[in-house]
Amino acid sequence: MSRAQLTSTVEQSNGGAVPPVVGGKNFIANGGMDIFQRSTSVTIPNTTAGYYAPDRFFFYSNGGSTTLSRVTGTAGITYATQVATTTGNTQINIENRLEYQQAQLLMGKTVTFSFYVNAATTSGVSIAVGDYYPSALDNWGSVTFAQKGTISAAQLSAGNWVRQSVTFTADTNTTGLGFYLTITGLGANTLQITGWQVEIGNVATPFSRAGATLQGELALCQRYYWAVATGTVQPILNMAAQTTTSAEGIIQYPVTMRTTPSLAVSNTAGSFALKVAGGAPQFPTFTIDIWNNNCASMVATLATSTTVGAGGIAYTTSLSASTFVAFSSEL
Amino acid sequence: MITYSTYTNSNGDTVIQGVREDGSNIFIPTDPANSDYQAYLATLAANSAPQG
Repeated sequence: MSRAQLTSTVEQSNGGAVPPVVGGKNFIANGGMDIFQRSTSVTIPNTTAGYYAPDRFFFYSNGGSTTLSRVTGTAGITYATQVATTTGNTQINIENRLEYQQAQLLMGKTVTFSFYVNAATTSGVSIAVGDYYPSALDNWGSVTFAQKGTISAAQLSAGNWVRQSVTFTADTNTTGLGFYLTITGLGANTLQITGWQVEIGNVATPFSRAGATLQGELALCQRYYWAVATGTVQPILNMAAQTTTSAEGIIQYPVTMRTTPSLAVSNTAGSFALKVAGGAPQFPTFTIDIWNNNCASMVATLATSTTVGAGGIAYTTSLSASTFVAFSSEL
Repeated sequence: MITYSTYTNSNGDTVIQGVREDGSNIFIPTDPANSDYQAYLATLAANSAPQG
């Protein structure tokens, strides 16, 4: 370790000339798992990878039944994600993808990937650590994994948090870069994880949020996903009736999204309504008309008639807790 | 498994509508950078590939 690196690490640890919390040092958005827009408790499908719980984290489970839930974190990090597996589980993957424009800064550099982990049982557990990349620019339909290190059971402490890190040279490509953990040997177990950090350099410095603050972290996450409304009696947007059975309105995203997002919306009769003067005609779902990465024109086809030109508030009714509206421009 | 169809919006652009197994909808723009559109194209390519 060079004198400069040693000085930097000591100063960060002690709060010296280099402050211990530096926004942008950490390349992992939501590494502290502050943001759970989708769900704070969910059972994930077997062998169907996806974004299920903490924002920006991509999960895969093979075997048994796996539940993700938000739990208390460690070392000043409020939250962690608990991965509860059952007998038959052979593999859990936890991944975080960076778009190419952001990942370029890491490529070919010495980086340190650190995280906190707490396994209820450590026997037989092994954690492969590495980076991975897509086959085409920001298109993760096909990926290549590159393992850089392994955390063995001996490096874990049953029922206790430990911080682990692996230093390696990040892969270089023209498509993007992500970071992953592949956890094997869990079977029926409970593993908690938080404090993901990928930084340039060969030491793991104290954890800090990529977005520096809670609001910064939320905005980072909303670049990729925005849960507009989840559950009952949630306001969504203002709309006006274009015909007696059709209303339309513009919804503005809280931040500009990575690309024009997809609109994901539940579809159940009576789960949405438009509150207008003299009534609240219901509708089962939204469709979309014109949209870009800043805003969208949403359309409601009403089950009962209203007055042309009538304006009102679209909201989720009290019918179903499963009602949702979300925009996604995830990688 | 998503079942896809398309419609044309008021600007004349194609919108892809997917219906998921749980009945929920996903509306996908024809934007090459959108990962759902990338998945849609991959599904089309797989379905049009010669069956061995």
